[in-house]
Amino acid sequence: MSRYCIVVDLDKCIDCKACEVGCKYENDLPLGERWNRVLTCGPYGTFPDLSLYYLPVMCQQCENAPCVKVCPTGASYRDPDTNVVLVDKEKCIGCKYCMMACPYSVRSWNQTEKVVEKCTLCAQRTSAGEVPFCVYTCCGDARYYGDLDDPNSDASKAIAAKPDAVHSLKDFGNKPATVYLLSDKYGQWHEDAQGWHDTNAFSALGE
Amino acid sequence: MAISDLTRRSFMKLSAFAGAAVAAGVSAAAIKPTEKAYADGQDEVVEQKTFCRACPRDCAVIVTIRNGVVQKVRGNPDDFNTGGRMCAKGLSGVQALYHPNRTKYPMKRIGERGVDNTWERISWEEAVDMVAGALDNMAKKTGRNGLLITCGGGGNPKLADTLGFMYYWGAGNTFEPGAAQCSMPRTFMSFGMLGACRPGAIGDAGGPDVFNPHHPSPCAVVWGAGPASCSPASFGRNYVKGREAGMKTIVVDPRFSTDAARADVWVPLRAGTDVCMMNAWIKWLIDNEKYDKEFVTKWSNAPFLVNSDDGDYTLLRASMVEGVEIPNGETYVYFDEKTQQLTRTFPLGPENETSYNPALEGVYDVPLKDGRVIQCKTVLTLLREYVQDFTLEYASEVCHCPVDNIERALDLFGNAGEGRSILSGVSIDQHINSGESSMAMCILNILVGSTYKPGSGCADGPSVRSTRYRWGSEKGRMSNMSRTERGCFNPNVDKDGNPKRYATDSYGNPRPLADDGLPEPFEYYNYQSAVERFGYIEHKGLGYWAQCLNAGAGEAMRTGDPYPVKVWIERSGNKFATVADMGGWLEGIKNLDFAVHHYMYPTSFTFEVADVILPTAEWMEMTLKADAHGTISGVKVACAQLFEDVDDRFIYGTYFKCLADNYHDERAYHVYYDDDEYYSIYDYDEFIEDMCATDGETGEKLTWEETKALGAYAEPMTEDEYWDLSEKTYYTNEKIDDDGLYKGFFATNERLPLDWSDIEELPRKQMIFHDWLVHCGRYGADVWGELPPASEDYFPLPKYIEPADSADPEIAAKYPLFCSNGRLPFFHHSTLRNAPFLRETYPAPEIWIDPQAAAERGIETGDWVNIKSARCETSEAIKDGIYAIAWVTEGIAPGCCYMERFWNPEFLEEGMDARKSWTTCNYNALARREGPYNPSIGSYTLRGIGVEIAKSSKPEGIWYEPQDFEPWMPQATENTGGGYRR
Repeated sequence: MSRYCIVVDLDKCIDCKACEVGCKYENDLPLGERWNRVLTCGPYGTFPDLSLYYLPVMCQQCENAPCVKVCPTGASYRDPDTNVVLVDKEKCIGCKYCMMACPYSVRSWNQTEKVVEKCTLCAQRTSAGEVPFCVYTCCGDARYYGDLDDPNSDASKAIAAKPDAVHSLKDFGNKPATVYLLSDKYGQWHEDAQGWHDTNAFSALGE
Repeated sequence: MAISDLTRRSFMKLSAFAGAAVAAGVSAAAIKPTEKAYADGQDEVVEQKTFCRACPRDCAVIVTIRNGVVQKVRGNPDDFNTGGRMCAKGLSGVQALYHPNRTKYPMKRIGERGVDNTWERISWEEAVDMVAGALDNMAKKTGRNGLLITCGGGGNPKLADTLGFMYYWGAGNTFEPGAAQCSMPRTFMSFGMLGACRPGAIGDAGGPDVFNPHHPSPCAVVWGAGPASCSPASFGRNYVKGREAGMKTIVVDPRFSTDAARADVWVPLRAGTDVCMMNAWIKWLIDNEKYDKEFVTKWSNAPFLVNSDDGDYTLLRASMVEGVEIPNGETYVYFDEKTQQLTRTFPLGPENETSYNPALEGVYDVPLKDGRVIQCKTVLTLLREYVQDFTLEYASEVCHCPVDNIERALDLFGNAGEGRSILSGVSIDQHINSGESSMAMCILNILVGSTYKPGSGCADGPSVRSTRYRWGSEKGRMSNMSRTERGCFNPNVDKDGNPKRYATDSYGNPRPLADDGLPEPFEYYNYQSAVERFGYIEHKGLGYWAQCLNAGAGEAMRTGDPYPVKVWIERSGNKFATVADMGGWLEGIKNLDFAVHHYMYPTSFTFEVADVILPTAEWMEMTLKADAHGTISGVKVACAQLFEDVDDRFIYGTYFKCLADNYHDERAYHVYYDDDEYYSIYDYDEFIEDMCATDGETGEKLTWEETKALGAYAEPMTEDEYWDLSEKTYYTNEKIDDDGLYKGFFATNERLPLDWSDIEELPRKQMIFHDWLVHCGRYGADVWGELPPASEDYFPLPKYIEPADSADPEIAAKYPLFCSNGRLPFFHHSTLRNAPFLRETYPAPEIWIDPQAAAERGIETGDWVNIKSARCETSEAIKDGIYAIAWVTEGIAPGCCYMERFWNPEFLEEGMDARKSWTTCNYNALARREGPYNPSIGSYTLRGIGVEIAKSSKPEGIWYEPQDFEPWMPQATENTGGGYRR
């Protein structure tokens, strides 16, 4: 079975928000929806001995995805071929259970269509053999896409190159598959959202 | 679609007359979801390769155009600087292009400036005639010098256009809000001190050799710059790659910025105190012998003797010294250790270099020809004394930076070895110590011998160009924005330096003949016009780009002294967001006869100043030579041309044509008809023909369709080819020139400011002691002739000046926090505050406050705060201060704060108070317009102003929630051909 997801090397993320904004253009998202957002974690420490990193947050492709579990209609599902968590908008009844179940607030409510949406790993691109747009346009070369079960994928190779820097978002039993790389020299990994900052607080993580 | 529909979302009410105006016949089509763009096989989908121009970096991009409507844009992977990456600014090009508030056709004001925001549609012909008529009226009544023509926003395609217009018009003033406050201090000083190499100006793509993978840089100091914020896709990315490859970085910045967070050492710094910190670095390098002694002895003026007699601070002239011959003309003097003689300096070569054995340090008795004997120190000895008080402890206290951080930075930089360098950004230009900051930066780079070294930021990267195609070029003197001179040239002579002679005048009558039987030389611009530019004589560095003191223009507008400003032609986003304390300009604006605004959409300037607005092109509508500050050669291709928009560059030619046709203006007639320097909006076809590429293999000139199909970035050189070319620039100073001598610095390069000095035999050295600056202050460096002296000599070493607000005890007590600004990755200058996806991401400016200052004021993260400066007491329009959202963070030095420049286009919507567009969240409204100004460059204070902050609440009327920006979502129209389709 494959496990497609994104690996983000936080050593290289420069908070340019090209992924956040580019996702909106690529997926034609309305105002108010963000499938991907970049948070500032820190600075931690006391002036002038500080560390910080930027944390792009999107669907974590959880192995034990609560959004799929709670969906009453099967609209939130796992693609049988790619194992990617997706939403079938035809089946979505707009109950928003999945939005409440998602510990990372990465699901968006489409006001017009009255359905829940989220990152599809740019299915329109990946199905044509291209990488998701956020990976394509990432100015820091910090994003990698691929199958974690394929050691030759970009994603697997990025992890293999920094084995001591592997982190993931706080696991609530949902087993997030998305991997973040942060080297010790740039700071400690912080699981708790305290000290996280968003330039637009309207959909801050955990809200 | 009817006009009323088109303007449904317009910020302005169209007057009742508008409906009767000429219909444009524009149709609309909604932008379709991108995945559907490919679904319908019937559609015509073009993938147009072009260059972005959301900032001056000119990244190569690919624009998807479906049935004539631009769908989206992405980076072009062929561009090795970006590898196909594109930043949020560039990606927003689609929202900028199809913004519903685009100015769609010329309009004229009905009602009072700054009061009534009502406009009436007019034709291009009428609009241009109104401008030409106002210029003609001014010329006849009060003189041609009443013209103020301004540009700005480094994203402007051709900054030199406004300068050229001033030259050909014959008088008046020009400024961009940058210039004295951006880049000009650095280029002025580094070309004067370092010589023929590009300064490492990071925001302007300077210092690319830092990233040469064949010569990894050991250490780069990023001083007051944020590559991750300025140009994320190119230089931001390159710094990431450099760091991953092991390059050490030191970031000097008040903010714990993105680049600071990834640096090996962060040196926090109170804004405006750069020179104090740099002088401490100079002292440390000298005291600890961490400078490159061999380099500074051979290649800099460190061993030259300084004449400090009579309070003079200049290098000693050889002609003054008894017993020193000057067979090749005036030059300097050094003490030769081998011969124990005072000796004239001379350029070195393989044949004579062994005879050059200067004493690097010492004090010498020098017998002069007038019989006196004076004591002279070498430059290095003088410099050592000059910086002796700048201990690390002193710098720590002044700059609010812990000693430990400075020590760690110096330990790293001082021991990093060859290829280390200091690169800089705009922040060191934005205060009254601007020139000296650049001076000190140059000295540091000279001390470590960084110029032309592999891996150093002080080398001259080549231009990326096509290996096969030669791109077309525009006609006219303004077609190339010279990297060094910003298009400064003498309009009275042709390209070969011959005087302009025209057979007939604008009526077709013969012009008088000169003694040689040819028509008399014609003068567009003269000495008087140059001398009377506002602030020029006092601040001669302004002449480097022919700028005026911009606050001086504001004062002249208000007082009529030294002469009134009558007509203002403005091409940039929003002067009210980029110029300091525009509240102080409002009174003077009432005195203008006429103002015209060329821009893509209305801004605060439109409301406050303009009488006529002209619709100009977004970057996706332009065909233009890509330049990227000389680092790219290619052609940007128009992907759409909407409404009646025209490329701003054609407007100047159209003015001249109209002035010639309708007003018989002599200069306009010659420049448009005889010199054929300009395209007007009627000459677009000719322009397109000129822009067609030539196949270098076949020699064949392509058609425009073929050129477009080829793409703007066809067969570009590879990254390896680029670095091979770059390799050839290393150690240029050691290469042999035509005369058998080393090229050194300042020898043969055309950028030589030779006319800055009385020195006839150039020693070809870099300038630690900036002797030419003193000469410039006394005599100028202008093609128009010797200028009157400044009231005081410019000082040739980096003198530290405390920022103006904090130097004033009254202001300092009332406004005790030191505030700076700085760039974010999603806006360029005043652009894109109306792009919905960007405003949604950053809806309102944040102000960073340190925890102690915040606690003292009861402020917490997320609070709205009110910010005031001393300007709130003098400028009625901002008496209540401005607003921002607090971010309480350790990432800023205690007592300092940071806030992004901002303005709020939402206040230009119908029914809103348009003045609030620039008075609500605009940091620069609080900045300092008054002097003191930087002595040589005239910079005022944008960074390092004193402020006080208090907890407040969200100001009424600003858009903040994502849905607020809905009215600005793009409304696509088909390609109409723009204003050229006539």
